[in-house]
Amino acid sequence: MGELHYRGEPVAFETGESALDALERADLGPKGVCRAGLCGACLVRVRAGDVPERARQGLAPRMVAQGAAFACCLVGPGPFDLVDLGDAGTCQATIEVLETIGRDVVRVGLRTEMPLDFRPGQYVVLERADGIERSYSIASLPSDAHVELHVRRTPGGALSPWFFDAGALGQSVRLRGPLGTCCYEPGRPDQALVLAGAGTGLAPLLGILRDALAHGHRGPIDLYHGARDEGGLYYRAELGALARAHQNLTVHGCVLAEPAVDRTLRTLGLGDAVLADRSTLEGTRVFLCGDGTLVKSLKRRFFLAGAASRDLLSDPFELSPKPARVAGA
Amino acid sequence: MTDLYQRLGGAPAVDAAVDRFYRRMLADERVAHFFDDTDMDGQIQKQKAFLTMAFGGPHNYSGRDMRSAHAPLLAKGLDDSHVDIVVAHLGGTLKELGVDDSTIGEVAAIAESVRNDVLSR
Ligand SMILES: Cc1cc2nc3c(=O)[nH]c(=O)nc-3n(C[C@H](O)[C@H](O)[C@H](O)COP(=O)(O)OP(=O)(O)OC[C@H]3O[C@@H](n4cnc5c(N)ncnc54)[C@H](O)[C@@H]3O)c2cc1C
Ligand code: HEM
Repeated sequence: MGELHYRGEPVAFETGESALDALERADLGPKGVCRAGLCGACLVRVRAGDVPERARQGLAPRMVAQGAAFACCLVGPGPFDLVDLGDAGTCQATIEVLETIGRDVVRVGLRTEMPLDFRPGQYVVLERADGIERSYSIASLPSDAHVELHVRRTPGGALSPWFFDAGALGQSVRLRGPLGTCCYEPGRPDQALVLAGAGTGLAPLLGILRDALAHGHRGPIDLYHGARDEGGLYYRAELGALARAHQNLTVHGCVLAEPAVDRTLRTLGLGDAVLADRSTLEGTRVFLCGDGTLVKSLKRRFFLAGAASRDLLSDPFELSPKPARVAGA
Repeated sequence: MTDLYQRLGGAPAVDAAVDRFYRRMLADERVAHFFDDTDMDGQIQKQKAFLTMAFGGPHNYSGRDMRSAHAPLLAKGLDDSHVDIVVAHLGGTLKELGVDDSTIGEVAAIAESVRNDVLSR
C-alpha cells in the first residue's frame, strides 16, 4: 500500500503503479494520454514527495519552480501530496490605495492579512464580497508596502468599474493565488530581454522589469508599451526615470494613432516595433503581457522570428477566469 | 528501436529539435493552419511527444490514441500530402542538426508506420 493525497484527500495507491493510474481509477482529475511524461495532459503540482528526475524531464524551469510534474511518472509507494497545477491558497486583503494613473487605469494597493508569497509577474484572482472574481496581475515587488494592481475600466464590466468608485476604498476582498509562470529567472544576466505589452499589460511587465534590475541583470533590456493612442499609455514619467537610472534599459512607447503631444512615441504596432529594432530574436528572452489575442499572435510571430520557445514567456489576459492549463516548455 | 533513440541522443536531442521542427511547421502555410487557435506551450509539449515517438523513444501511445489525437484534423482536411510534408520537415530538421541520411531514413520509417492511424484508415 502506498500513500497518495490529491486535493487534500487520500487516494488508494499501490506500490509500483503511477499516481496517474490511481487518480484515473478513482475517477479524479487528470486523464493521461501518453503515460511517458510527454503529452502534458497529466501535469500536477507536487506539494510534498520525492519527485524522480524523469517526472520533470523536459519541463521549463518556470514549471519546475511551480512544483509541476508528470503524474504518470510518479511511482508508488510515495508518499505524494498532489494538487492541480492552478491550485493555490487564498487570503483576505484590504483595498488601501486607489489612485488614477492613466486614462481609465487605476492603481489598486492591497494590504494582505499575511505576506503574499509571490514572484513578480504572477497574478491573483480577486474576489469581491458578492462572489464576482477576476484575474489581475501584480505590478509590485514582494518588498513593496502594498500588493499593487493596475486595473483598466471595462465599460459595463461586472468588476473593473468598481475600482473607480471611491466606495471601494477600505473594502475587503479575497485573493486566490499567486498564479502564473511569466517571471524573471535569474541565471543568465547578460541575455537581451524584450518586454512587450499593451495597456495594463504593463502591470506584470513592471514587476518583471524591476525584478530583473534588482537581480542585477546586465544585458540590454527593451520595454515596449503599446496603446491605440497616446492617452492609452501611462507611467511615462516613472518609466523614463527607471531608464535614466539604468543604462541598459530603453523604454519605447508605441501607438497606432499619430501622437499629438509626445513626439518621442513611435507610430508602430508592438510586433512591428520589436522586429524593426533587431534582425532576429534568437537568444533573446521575451515577456509578453496583456490582451489575450494580441499576446498569442505576438508569441507565434516572435517564435518564427527566432525566439526559443523556452524564452517566450507570456501572460495572456483572457476575458474569463483562466482554468489551469498545460504549459509545457 | 530504443537503440535509434540512444544514437540520436535521447531526450536532449528531442529538446534540441523541437523548436526547429515546430518553426518549420508554423512557417509552412500548407500545414500551419492545423496548429491555429492552439496554445503554443501545449503544442510544443505535443511536438516533443511526436519527436520522441519518431525517434524510437519510450512512449505508450496506441494506434487508437493516434487516431483520436488526429481525428479533429481530418475534419479540417488532413490527408496523405500533409503526412508527406511532416515527414519532409522532420528529415530537414535532422539534417540541420547534422544527422546522417541513413538514420533519417530510420526516423522516417517510424513516422510512416503511423500514417494509417493518423489518417484513421
Ligand atoms: C491572467 C490574467 C491577468 C489579468 N491581468 C489584468 C490586469 O493586470 N489589469 C487589468 O485591467 N485586467 C487584467 N485582466 C483582465 C481582468 O481579469 C478582467 O477580465 C477585466 O478587468 C474585465 O472584467 P470586468 O468584470 O470589468 O468585465 P466583464 O464583466 O468580465 O466583461 C464585460 C464585457 O466586456 C468585455 N471585455 C472584458 N474584458 C475586455 C477586454 N480586455 N477587451 C475588450 N472587451 C472586454 C466582455 O467580453 C464583456 O462583454 C487579466 C486577466 C487574466 C486572465
Ligand atoms: C507522421 C506521423 C505522425 C505522428 C507519429 C504524429 C504524432 C503525434 C503525437 C504523438 C501527438 C500528441 C498526441 C497527444 O498526446 O495528445 C500528435 C498531436 C498532433 N499532431 Fe501529429 N503526428 C503525425 C502526423 C501529423 C500530421 C501530418 C499533422 C498535421 C499536419 C499532425 C498534427 C498534429 C496536431 C495539430 C497535434 C496536436 C493535437 C492537439 O492539440 O491535441 N500530426 N501527433
